[in-house]
Amino acid sequence: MRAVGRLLLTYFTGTTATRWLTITGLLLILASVYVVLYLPQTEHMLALAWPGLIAFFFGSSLMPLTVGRLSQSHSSCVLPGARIKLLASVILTVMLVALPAGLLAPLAFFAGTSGNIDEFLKWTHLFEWSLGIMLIVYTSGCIVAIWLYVFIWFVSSERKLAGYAKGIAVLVVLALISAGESREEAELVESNLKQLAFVLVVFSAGFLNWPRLKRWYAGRQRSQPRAASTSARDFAGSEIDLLLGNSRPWILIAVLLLPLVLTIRMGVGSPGMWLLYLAIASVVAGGNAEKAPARSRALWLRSEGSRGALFDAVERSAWRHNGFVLLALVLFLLGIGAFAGMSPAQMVAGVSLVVLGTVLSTYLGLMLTRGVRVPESVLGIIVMMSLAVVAVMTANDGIRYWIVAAALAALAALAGILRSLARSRWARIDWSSCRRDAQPNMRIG
Amino acid sequence: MNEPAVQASRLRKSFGPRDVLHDLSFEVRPGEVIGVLGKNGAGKTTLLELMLGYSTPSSGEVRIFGAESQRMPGDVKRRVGFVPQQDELLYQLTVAEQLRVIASFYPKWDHELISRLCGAWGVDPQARIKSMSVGERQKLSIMLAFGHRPDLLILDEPVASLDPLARRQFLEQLVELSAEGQRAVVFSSHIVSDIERLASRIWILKEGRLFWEGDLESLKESVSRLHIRFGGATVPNFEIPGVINQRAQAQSVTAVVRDWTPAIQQSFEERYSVTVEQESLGLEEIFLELHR
Repeated sequence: MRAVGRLLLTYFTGTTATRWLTITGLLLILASVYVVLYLPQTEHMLALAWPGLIAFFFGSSLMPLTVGRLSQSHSSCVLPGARIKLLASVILTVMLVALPAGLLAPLAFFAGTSGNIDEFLKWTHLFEWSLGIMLIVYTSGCIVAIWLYVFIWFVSSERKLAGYAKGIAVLVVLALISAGESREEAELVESNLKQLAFVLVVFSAGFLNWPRLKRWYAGRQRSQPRAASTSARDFAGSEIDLLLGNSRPWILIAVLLLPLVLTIRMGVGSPGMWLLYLAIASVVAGGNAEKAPARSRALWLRSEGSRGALFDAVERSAWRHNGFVLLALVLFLLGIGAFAGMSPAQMVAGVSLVVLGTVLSTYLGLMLTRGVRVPESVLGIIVMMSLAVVAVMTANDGIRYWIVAAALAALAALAGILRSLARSRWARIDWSSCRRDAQPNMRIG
Repeated sequence: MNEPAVQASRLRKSFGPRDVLHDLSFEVRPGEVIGVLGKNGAGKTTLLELMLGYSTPSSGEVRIFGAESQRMPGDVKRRVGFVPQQDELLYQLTVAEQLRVIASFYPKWDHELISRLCGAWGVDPQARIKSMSVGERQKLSIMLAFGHRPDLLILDEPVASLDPLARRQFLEQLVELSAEGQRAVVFSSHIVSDIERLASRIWILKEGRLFWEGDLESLKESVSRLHIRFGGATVPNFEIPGVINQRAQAQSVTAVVRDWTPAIQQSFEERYSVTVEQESLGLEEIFLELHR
């Protein structure tokens, strides 16, 4: 129990950032409880709750990486009861992060309907209904939290294309689950409980038996000796593209378009939603560039040019890759724009948005010569939020287009600033500062 | 209490068609310090991982304090400490946080020993692990394995990343710890002098087999170098009993042999009309000769 408690405390307060996120989240949640119970009811009464819930969730974002690292290392064999304690900590974390939403929902309902506890309790059906709301929100919160932790795990543990692809696949699954038809309260509770039970049973069985499964899989792999790889594919692309991981844009195109195609199947058709999705996809497209600083060391060691020349070569390689991805996204936007009934002005703004999203994230990625620190994180959030805001603005029929154009111009100016910043950082790049220290999948030879 | 800390019988490990360990049987008794020597790829890490239950043997079994290593219960795990070759720390945390996380898994944790080691080894408890050097991380990994004062310590090349001063401090600490009660220690290393200084018994792994298992003195007595001198210009067709390797030079042959006795020497000299001079070897020379 002590170990589980300590693990929970570490997840929520292990680093300065998670500690502040947790505290901020809790304070905002408490403030929204006060707003809900004691201030006049308005449509904005949960305005503090949302950022609070998000901050509280991200406060625990250390959990997937910690659990992954401990469960994959030798510690899982040596620490007493390691797997069961880690599993308990995972389940408790999920239950904890979903709790504030589960409690706030019935409180808001209580405040909105009566505000007087005696009166509220007298109306049995109201009381029962609010309990039902609590169950729905709580179980839905648990489900969303589980999938978001899986997303964080893939993105943070495998900081490469495969990891991002898995992360996106998880978000698509989450979107598909959330997009289910609206149902009766009891039906929804039952469906949520079934989903939760299924996910928890499968995850627990897999987690506890992972060493056995891994050994079985490793045994199978080792018993099938692989032929030496000499296919033409392994030698395709120029050396610099291969070293920087920019030789196969088709994989990223497939990874990005698959969820978008699935989204068509779900029947999401509003221009605003498409512009938002494509803005996110364009950021992922450029995100590939973040590997360049660490990977460029091999290029530096064998080249005779300056760091500035190295940046030029890396930038060209990034655009050889991201250009194809960008082209695919633009073509998709033009196709889906016609399907979703976007106006020509919206199409033009959308294409500009996708281009700017890719440019901004490419230079944001190239800027990471010292790893991801607070300024880079803040900049990343600002870029993402700005793109999302412009996407929503563009889709709004009532908006004046000079406002959108001004916003796009501001983003273009920001892209220019990021490029010069990236270039100046590369002029004094220190490869010991951008090495990848976190390697959870450590195999001792 | 006198049960073996580790007991392996007919242990074999293969990766596909390649046998990494062949038919190993051994015991580690409480109080023993075993030094495992072997060149890269000899199977040292595989052997230690089999002991921990991290890897499954292809056949045979390993028992840790009587429990099968694959299914060690909690009370047995509490008696085992392990230092991996590469650290497996949580880089986002500080040293103090990491220590607290690992300590929480054990009912008893020697905070005094850990704070003493932090001071002696110059590890700042408030330092973020991500910003520490490889050597400092290795020191922390060692502390984590010492903290619950295990009865069996398994260390996979623990000093590889340490500077000479830290290495000396670590070895002193290991001597101190192994002298306490009935603690068994199994450690692998490439640094022969460390093994020579510490180990009460030595295992030399060669091509997945235990070439030697015994104490250092017996090993030194067993393995020796012979300088065989003969009169003619061509090298006679010798059959040297117990030969490990041999090199021919002008009018002499240098051979490394095992279990050479005066009686064998006498009969060999009479049979081939040669003179034999026997030379004792240090552990490092023995190790090099074995892999020549």
